[in-house]
Amino acid sequence: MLFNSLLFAAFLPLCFVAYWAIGRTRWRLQNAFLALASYAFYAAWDWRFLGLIILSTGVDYTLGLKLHAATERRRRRAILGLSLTLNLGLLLYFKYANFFLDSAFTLLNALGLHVEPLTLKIILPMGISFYTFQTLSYTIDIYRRQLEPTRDIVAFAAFVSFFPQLVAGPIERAARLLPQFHRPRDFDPDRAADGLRQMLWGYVKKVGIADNLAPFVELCFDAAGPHDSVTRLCGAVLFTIQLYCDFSGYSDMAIGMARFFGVDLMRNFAYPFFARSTSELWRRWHISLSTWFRDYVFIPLGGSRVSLARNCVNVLIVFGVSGLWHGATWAFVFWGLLNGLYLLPGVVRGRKPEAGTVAEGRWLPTPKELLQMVAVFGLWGFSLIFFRAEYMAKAGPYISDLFAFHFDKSVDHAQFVPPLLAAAGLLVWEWCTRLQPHGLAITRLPRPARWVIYLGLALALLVYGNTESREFVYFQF
Amino acid sequence: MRAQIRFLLRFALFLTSLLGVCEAFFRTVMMARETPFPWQDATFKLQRYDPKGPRTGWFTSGRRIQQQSQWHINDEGWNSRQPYLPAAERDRPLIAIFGDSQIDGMYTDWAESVPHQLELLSGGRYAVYGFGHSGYKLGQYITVAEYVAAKGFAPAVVVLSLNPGDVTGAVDVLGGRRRSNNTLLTVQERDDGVIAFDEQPPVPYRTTRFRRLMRRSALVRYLVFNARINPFSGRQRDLALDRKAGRAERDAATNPYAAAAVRHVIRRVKGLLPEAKLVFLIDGDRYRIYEEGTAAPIGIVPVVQAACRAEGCAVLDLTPVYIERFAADGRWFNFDHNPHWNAYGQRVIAEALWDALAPTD
Repeated sequence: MLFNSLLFAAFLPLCFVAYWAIGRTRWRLQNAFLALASYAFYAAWDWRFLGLIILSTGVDYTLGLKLHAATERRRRRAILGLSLTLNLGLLLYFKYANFFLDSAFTLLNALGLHVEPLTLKIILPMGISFYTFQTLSYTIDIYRRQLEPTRDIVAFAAFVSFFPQLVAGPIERAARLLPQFHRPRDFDPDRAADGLRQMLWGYVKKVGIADNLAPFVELCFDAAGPHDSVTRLCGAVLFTIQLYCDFSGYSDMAIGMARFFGVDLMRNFAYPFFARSTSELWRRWHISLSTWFRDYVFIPLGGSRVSLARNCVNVLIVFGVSGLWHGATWAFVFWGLLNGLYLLPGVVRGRKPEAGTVAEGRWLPTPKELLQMVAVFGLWGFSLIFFRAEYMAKAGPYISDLFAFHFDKSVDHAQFVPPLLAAAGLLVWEWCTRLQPHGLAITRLPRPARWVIYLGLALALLVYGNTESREFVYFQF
Repeated sequence: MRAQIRFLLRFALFLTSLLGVCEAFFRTVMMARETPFPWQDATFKLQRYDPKGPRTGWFTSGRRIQQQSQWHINDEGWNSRQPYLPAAERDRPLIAIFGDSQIDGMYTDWAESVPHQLELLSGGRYAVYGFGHSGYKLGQYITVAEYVAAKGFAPAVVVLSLNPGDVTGAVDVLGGRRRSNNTLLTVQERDDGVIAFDEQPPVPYRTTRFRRLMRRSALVRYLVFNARINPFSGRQRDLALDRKAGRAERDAATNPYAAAAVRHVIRRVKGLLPEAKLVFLIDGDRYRIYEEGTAAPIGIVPVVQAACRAEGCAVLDLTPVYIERFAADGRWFNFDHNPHWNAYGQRVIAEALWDALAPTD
C-alpha cells in the first residue's frame, strides 16, 4: 500500500478514527490496533513477508529480555551475536545473497576457474533494511546497558512495525520511539494540524515534483537515449532533486501522519542542499541512517578518537557499508566510498561541520556560502550518478559523456526547462523556509495567506501531480 | 475525543474549501469536460444524446485541458450543427457515416469534423451526416442502419468506420460484452458448419439520479473525464491506442468468426439500405507510423477486403494514407495526449474519403 494511493487515502482516516475511538486510557489496546493495522498495511504489499517482521519482532523481544537478564559477559556477547546473526542473516540472504554469489563467480572466473554463474530467485522484502536496523538498535542498546528491555511484546510489535515508518524510515531508535508506546499518547490538534501540513508538503515533493521528474531522469539515464553532455548534466541535476523529493517527501508524510496517532518521529532531512560542506550534508541527509551508522558502526570502530589514519579508514568503512546498505551492487559501494572520500579532507584538517543553518538572519547567502553550497550540490550530484546507474558498467559511459563537453543540436534540450524550473522553484521555496522544520511550517504568515498556499498546492497537485502511484525510490533498499 | 473531533472538523473545513476552490477552478479557469446526457430511444434502443438535455457545451480532454471543442446536439440526438433531414425534405443525396467516438466528433469543433469536411469537399453536392457515438462497434451498425432506414434518410453512400477492436468487440466468442449498449452478434453454428449469428439488441440504458447529480460537478467531471482517475485501481486509464484490442484484431485475420461477422453485417446493412453503396473506412496503427514511419494494415483489413470482394462493397484502408501524409509533413493525426483524430486528422480522412468516393460521382 503506497502513501500516494487511493487505498491508503481510505486506510489512514479509518485507522485514525478507530485508534482514537479505542480511547487514550486503553493505550495497550491502541498499541495492539496499531500493530495489526501495520501488519495489514504491509500485507497489502505482500502478505508472505509478514512472517519476517513477526519473526524479527519475536526474536529480538526474547533476546532483549535474555540479554538484560544475563550478567556474564561471554553470555551477553553470545546473545548479542545471535541477534546480529539472525537479523543480519535475514538481510544478507534476502538482499545480498546474489551480490556475493555474483562477486564470487566474477572473482573465480578472473582467477581462471570457469564456474557457471548461479543466481537465486529471491524477492527483496519491502523495508527489510529499515526495520532490521531498527530492531538491531534495540538489542545493541540493551547490550550496552543504555536501554531497559520492554516486557510488553505488543508495544514492541507496534514499535517494530509502526506503519508510517515501516518501509522507508525514519529508522527510529528504541530509546526514542519505544517509550512512546509505553504510556498513554495525547492528541494535540495543533501538532496534528502541523502533521497534516507536513504531509501535504511531502505529497507536493513526491507526487508533484519527484514523480514528474522521473520520466525526464529515465530519458537522461537511458543508454539508448540522447547522450550529449547537456542531457547528462540535466539528468544528474534532476535525479539529485528527484531523489531528495522522493525520499524526504516520504519522510515528511511519515512524520506528519505519525502525529495523528500522538507519536513523534525523528527528523530525517534538514534542507541538505543548503549544506556548506559534505560533512554538513550528512548531518542533513537521511539523518536517521547517518546517526545509526555513527552510533553503531563508526563509534565501535573507535570513531575519531584514534589515529588520523585509522580515523580515515573508519570513515571509509562506514561509508562503504552505508553504500552497501543502499544497494547490493559495487556501484552503491563506490557511491558510499566516494562520499567517504569527500569527507577525508575535513577529517585530515580536523574541521568540524558548520554549525547552525546557512545565512541565519539574512535573506541571501554570502558569495562564499553560495559557492560552497553549489560545490556540495555538484559533488553530491556527481556521486548520485553511481547511485542511479546502479552498475559501474552503466555509470562509466554516463560520466564520460558528461565530461565529453559535447553538445548535440538534434536533441530537444528545451524539454528539460520545465523540470529544471520546477526544481529551481523547490529550492527557492525551501531556501525561504530553511529555518523551519518543514516546507509548510509557515505559521508566521497570516492565516488567509496560508490557506491560499495550502489550497493552491492541493489544487496544483490535482492538476500537475503524477497519479501513476510510482513507488518510492527508497522502497528498493 | 473532543480534540480529535475538532481536528477532523478543521480538516473537513479545509476539504470543503478545497472542493469549492476546485469546483470554481474547473468551471472557469480550466474547464472540465461538459458532456451531453447519454440517451437511448425506446424504438431502436440506439444510444445517442438526449435532445431534451443540454444542446451545446464545451468538450475538453487531457489532465491539463490540452484540447477544447464545442458540441451541438441536434434534434435527432447526434453531435452536429445541422438538422438531419429525411430524403423527402432534402435537396441532395446523402452520405451517412456510421462510426464510434471518432465520427461522433466531440474532440474537434463540428466545422472540423469528417462529415462537415467531406461535405465541403463535395462542394455541397452531398449532405453528409455522421451517425457516430462513443463505443459503437460493428454489430451496432445494424441497429444504426435500422434507424436510418426507418427515418427515411435513404443515403446514397454508407461509410462504416472501423477501429481496432470494433469487430472482435462485436462478437460474443471474440470477447464482445454481453448486456451492453451495443448490438452483440452471438454465434450460432449450424450443422452444415456455416457460422450464423443472432443479434442481441442493446440493453436499455439506465442512469441513476446520483450519476446525473455527479455530472453536475465540474470537479467530478474533471477527475473522471479529464484526469481519467479510476478510483478502483488508483491509476490513470491507458490513453494510448488499445493495444490489447489491436492484438485481438491481429488474430482476427485468421479467425472465421470475424470474417463471418463482417459478412453478416454487410448483408444486413445492404438489406436495410439496398440503394446505398457501402464503403468501409478502416483506421491504421498510427502510433507505429509515428515511431517507425510505416506499419502494416491492422489485422481486420484483409478480412474486410475479402468480405467486400464477395459482397460487392469498397474498403478504404487508412494505413497507406497515414504513411504518405506522415512522410510528407511529419504531423500527427491525433492529439498527443489522446488517440482521437485532431482537426488535421479529420481533414486528412475526409480528403481520403472524398478521393475514394469521387470517382463514383
